[in-house]
Amino acid sequence: MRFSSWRTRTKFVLVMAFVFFLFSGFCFDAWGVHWCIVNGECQRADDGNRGGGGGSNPTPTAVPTATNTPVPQPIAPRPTSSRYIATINPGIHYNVGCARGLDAQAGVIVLDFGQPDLVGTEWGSFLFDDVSFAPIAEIETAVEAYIEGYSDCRPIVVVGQLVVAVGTNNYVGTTGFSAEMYYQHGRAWSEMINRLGDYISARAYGSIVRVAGANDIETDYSPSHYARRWAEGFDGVNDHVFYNFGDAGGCSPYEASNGPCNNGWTQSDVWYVSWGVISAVPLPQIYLESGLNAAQWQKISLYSELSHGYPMLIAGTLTQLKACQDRGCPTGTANSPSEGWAQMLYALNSDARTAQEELKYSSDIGWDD
Amino acid sequence: MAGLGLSAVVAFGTPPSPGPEIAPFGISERDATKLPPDKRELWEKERAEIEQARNSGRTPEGLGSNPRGLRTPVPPLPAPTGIVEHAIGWKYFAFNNAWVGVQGGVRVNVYAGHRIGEPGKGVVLIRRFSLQMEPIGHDTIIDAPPDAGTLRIIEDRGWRLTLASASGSTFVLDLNAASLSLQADGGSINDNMVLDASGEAGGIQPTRNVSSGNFTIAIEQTLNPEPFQGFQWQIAFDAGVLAPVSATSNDDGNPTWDSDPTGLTLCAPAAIDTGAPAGTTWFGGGAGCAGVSGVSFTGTLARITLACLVSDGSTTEVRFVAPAESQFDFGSTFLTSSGSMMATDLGSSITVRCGP
Repeated sequence: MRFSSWRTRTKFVLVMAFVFFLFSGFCFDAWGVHWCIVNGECQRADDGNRGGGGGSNPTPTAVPTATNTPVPQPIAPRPTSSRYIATINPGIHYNVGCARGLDAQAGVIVLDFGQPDLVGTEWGSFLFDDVSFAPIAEIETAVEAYIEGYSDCRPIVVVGQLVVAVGTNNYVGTTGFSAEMYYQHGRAWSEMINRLGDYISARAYGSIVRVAGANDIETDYSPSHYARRWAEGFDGVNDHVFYNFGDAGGCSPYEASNGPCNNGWTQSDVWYVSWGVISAVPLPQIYLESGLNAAQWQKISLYSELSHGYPMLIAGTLTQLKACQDRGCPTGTANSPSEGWAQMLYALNSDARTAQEELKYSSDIGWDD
Repeated sequence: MAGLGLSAVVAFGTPPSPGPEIAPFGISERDATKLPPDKRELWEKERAEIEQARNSGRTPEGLGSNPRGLRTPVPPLPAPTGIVEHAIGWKYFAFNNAWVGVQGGVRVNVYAGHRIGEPGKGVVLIRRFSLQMEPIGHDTIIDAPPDAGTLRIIEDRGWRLTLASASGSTFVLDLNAASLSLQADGGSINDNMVLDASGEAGGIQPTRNVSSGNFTIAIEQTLNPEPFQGFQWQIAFDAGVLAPVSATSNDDGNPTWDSDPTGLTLCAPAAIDTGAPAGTTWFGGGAGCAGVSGVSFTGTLARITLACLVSDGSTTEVRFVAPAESQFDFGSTFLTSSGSMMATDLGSSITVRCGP
């Protein structure tokens, strides 16, 4: 290649050097942390072997079975920090969202507002620890403050999008609530998520934040038809998906023949509230260090393939290491985020019928920062 | 060089890109080929929305405006106190109800129920928080004796809770004890103080509606298994709803509603105390009376006049301050001849509503 002048040649060399930096590892310091450009993405570089995910979405390679060829090992995404919500104070939510922004987190984050509740004619949730009712309008305000804090404190250069998944659960206990009330709650929750979506659009947060519903659906929390009705209620008016970040309690880790789970549930019930309903997406709890949870969910995905012709695709995993550190937890339930994520990915790819190329999300739930 | 400089500005100074790949609800382009048609349709819709947001050229409101992460100040949060009747679900527990108390700037939540899926295994869980709801320490989990069954908090006696089990047993949880334990309630009864929302009406009233202005509540004693030689009281309420006006403790012969606990002649007036959490008034302090010999008595110990500061329907709990809460050895308790505190059962809070 010939250049018309030394100036042109110098310019070419510098541009090529910049392109090289972009795609091969240019690092700099900003916002008090060390950043690197990796494969064209700006990422935090303080996360050790997690690949400096910075909330970006690395692309782990599927694990082939039975091969002697060395393959690239999948890299777990940098985990986000989900949280049990004990208060709806907007100031606290701004601060927590700000902390997530400063940390440049991206991926999915669950804000778990607790169990469905109703006071008068007003739907809401019964918060964790606050032993008090939080009306939906105030939950909405709290989430808005969280998003505002995230945007205000998020470094401009960071890539990656945060999905704020606003969660409840299916606990019925002795509340006296009916399955029909769960349908109404699901509907009201979905409408709240829609309004939060409008809020995000109005403030142009859409390039950095999305919103979704979420439900910690657990087999021991209610009869299955309660959870089914909640999911149908959500699905009836939704503009957004909801993540089932619950369990497959008591379901088989070995069989996929619609076997029984705890509390009268079946694998089909877990599948329905995780994937069967159009707006449902699974983000399962992979708490057990033994790998049992991952095996249970892989069998739900296999059940989906065998019974409905499509595997159930899993968005990511939820672990509770931080909650265990904050509060303590039963022995054997403290998978680290990368362990939970790896267990799930390996379980899915142990069978070609449930194999996924990628497992995008990894989140760890806790009580405090 | 100019071209490179422009490239750098474009790369680092414009609205952020969420990354090269769009993966609606965590499903990558490659995996999306396995989606059923209805899910695929939703996936495409999400992808289009994300692309539209990316390409809109709009900068997210406030993006990067707080690069140092300055925090919004959060005042102490109001804490409900007393028994909360609500079924509460946890990952490993099913709770029938809960109790909340605040002591020395620490909020304590106690939950009573059973291990989930095992209704025979009664359990109590205790959690502590700051007044900003930051968790303090690990959970304390106390299992009831085998086959006790699920537990429920049935009585709030200050920092001693009475719990009933499904099998019919009764337990006492002493939160002031150095080590927390569930003990079978042997039926021991202490001298007690009970708040009466209506100081003028008969009986013990748990609630009071006040349209505006002043009103009177009372402290009653209904149980007196042990003679006492003095008493002191201290109450707490929302400083934004109520203000103290005056108080009279029951001494010997004065005032006329006095039913004369023999020998209680040395009385101290009530005052507003320092040390209360923000937003809360502690009233009473060393208020009370003492005498020279043991007294056996049931009846009114004190009458307290309060004023509603608002008339918008706001409510507040009025409750006893336990001795362990008070930084100056105040609190509500009976006293022995040596002036030391006797075991005293403090009744539940009352609710006052100010408004039409």
